Amino acid sequence: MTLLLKQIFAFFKLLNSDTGEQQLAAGIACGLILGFAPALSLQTLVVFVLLFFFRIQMGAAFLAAFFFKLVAYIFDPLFHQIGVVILEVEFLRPLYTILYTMPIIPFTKFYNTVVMGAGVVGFLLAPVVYFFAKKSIVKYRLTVVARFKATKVWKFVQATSFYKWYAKYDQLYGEV
Amino acid sequence: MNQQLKKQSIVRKGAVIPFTIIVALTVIFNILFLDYFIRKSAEFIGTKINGAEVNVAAVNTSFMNLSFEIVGIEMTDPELPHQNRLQVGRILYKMSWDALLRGKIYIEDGMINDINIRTKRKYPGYVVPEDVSTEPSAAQTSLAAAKEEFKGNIFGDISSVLTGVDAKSQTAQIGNELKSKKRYEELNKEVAGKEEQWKAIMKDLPKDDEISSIKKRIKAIDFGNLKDFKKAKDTLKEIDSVKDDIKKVSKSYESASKQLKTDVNYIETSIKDVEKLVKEDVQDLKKRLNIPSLDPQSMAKILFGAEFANKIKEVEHYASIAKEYMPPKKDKTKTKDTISTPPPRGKGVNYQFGTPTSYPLFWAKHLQIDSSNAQGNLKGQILDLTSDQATINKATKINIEGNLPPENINGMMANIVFDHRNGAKDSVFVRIASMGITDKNLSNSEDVKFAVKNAIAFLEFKANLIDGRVGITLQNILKEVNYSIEAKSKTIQEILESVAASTQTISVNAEAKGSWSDLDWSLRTNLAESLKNGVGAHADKKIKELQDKLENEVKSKIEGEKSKLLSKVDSLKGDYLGKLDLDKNKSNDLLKELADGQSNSSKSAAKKAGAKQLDKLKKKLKL
Repeated sequence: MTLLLKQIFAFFKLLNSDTGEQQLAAGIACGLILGFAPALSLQTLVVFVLLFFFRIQMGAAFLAAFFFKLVAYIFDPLFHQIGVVILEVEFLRPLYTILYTMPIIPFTKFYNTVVMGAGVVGFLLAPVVYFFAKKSIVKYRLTVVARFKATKVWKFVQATSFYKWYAKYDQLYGEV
Repeated sequence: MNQQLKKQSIVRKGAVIPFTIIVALTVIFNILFLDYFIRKSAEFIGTKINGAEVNVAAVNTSFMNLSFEIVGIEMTDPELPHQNRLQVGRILYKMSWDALLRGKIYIEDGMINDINIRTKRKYPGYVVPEDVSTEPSAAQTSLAAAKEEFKGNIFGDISSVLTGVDAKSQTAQIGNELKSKKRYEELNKEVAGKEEQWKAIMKDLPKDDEISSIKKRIKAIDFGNLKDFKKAKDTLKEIDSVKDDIKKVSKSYESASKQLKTDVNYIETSIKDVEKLVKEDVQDLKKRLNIPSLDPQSMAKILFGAEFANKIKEVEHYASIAKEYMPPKKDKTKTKDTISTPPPRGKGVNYQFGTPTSYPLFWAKHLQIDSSNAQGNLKGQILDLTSDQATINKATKINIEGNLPPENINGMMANIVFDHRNGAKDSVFVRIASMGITDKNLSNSEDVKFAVKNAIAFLEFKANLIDGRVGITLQNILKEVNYSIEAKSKTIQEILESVAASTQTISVNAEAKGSWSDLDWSLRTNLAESLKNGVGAHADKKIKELQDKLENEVKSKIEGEKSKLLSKVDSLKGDYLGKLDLDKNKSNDLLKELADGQSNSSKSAAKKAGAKQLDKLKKKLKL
């Protein structure tokens, strides 16, 4: 839980900094895949491994996963319909049969209509979400963060000894 | 900080340690808790399938050779929660790595050892309550209805008939509940309402002065004018107008008469229908007063029907579980139907893309049953227990045979086949060469206690369930029967003792066939025949007398309402229909009068024209 909270705080810190928009955008894109995939599946495991070994912002991924899980719940009937259409494609049946009988692959649960529908939509939307998130973060920093930093309230906070102490602490021990 | 970020590589080297920790924790969890979770899951799923608590003593898994051992399985009997219906000492099997990597479970060989039946539990097992929220299936409804029909105590009922049932006092209390009486009351109310309607209709009908005014108009018509071209037009107009008025009058009488006749017919048919209700009332009273039917088939149903229905219920329960876990292959149209109905949220529909060489989701190819313990010996095998028979193209077969001497069961044999490759074709064959029966109650009322104290039974049970069609037969022969008889009445005691003496072997032949929603039951037993012969013509006469008495009682209860209705119908028929007929005749007379006037006028005109022509001819001929 502490690790999760730490990652979420790091997300907000990075979001309001001047850099790391790629990490954040990648985190949100991974969150989309996590949110759309079943909790116990091969693709979830793969995304977790990616989150662990590559510098992808985990807080962003977890928050996005939570958000997209709700989205997936709402669009569940649509995903089922898409899954039915894809799994019913006659010329893909031999491929499905090979995948179905291959080792490991069945753990993706691709043969389930909802998993297939949500998976295809998730993977197609992931690059879109990545670029959209990246642009939005930059825009957010230019408009909201810059304006906020220019306010008197923020300047007052920055002038306090507590903030100075925190900034020093963050410089020494903080990491993203 | 920003510079620090820019320098960081894309790979998170620091994640190696946490990842290692997670992997290590997963391994430790599996070592310490996996068996526990599997045990709990097995208990949970087993309880759901069994309908009562299932306990598993231990589960031992080995990741190295993928072996699986389940020890001490106890399945509570839902009917008798203090005992286990089945206890299995050990199940051992190995799974295949090849299948497991494909997300499938494949067991080439397994062993089931140490089987016991009807063992005592340490504590009563939890029985899963019946799910009342879901609609019962057609089979469940049909079986529940059959069990309700087979309820009864034939010995107690015969005893009470022979010792005397007071039909009069019993019907006195339930007079108001008679369906026939209620219907007569309703009809009387309906007729009272209809009478009001009829009065209103009669009020709206043409009055006498209207008819006499038409009559006057007819008389006022000078039909002689019809010969005169100038006057004929007006006269004809008047004739037509009078004719229209008469038709209007006639039509209103006709429609009123038609409605009245319809109402009268409805009441008369309803009265006939009430006579059927009288018969129903008599049947209901017979049931309520426990007046038995001495028909051997009915007696057999009461004696052994419930037991047979229970056996069928068990077959249906396991067949429906087999259908759930081994779904028959759907044809294309059915698949489309399933898809058109959205599945529960988050569940979706699983497609199977199996080929003949692929593994189904679960497949236990061969499970050897080999049990030898204090209870006896059981040998057999379970073949091709699978979640998808179509993929492996094999039906699931269970064969067991053995002897359980302490349970007095010898020569037991069971062959069960679940063939869901193309539709659902299940069959069950069970034969027990000899089985000890003790204290089997056939009647346990205050007046009569009739039980089989001990006997040796032969049992053969066959069931064929093919796509919702059922064919189930049971043959049960009880030999060397010792009865236990206790009756309050000396006569009954003597009768039952003579029945027992003449029935040292009881044979029961039962059959249920048809669809689950409409089973055709047939039960025969020589005990019913002996009982009929035993109680003899005396009971038969008494039952007939009682039945007549009941019929007379019911008829006397409804007599008042019935005669009230009949007299009302008669008076209405006389008052209204009679008057209507008279009035209708009057309008017909008017029409006739008008027609006569017209025809007389045309006849005289023709006569005059004829005479004129004759005169002309005479003049020409100069006669």
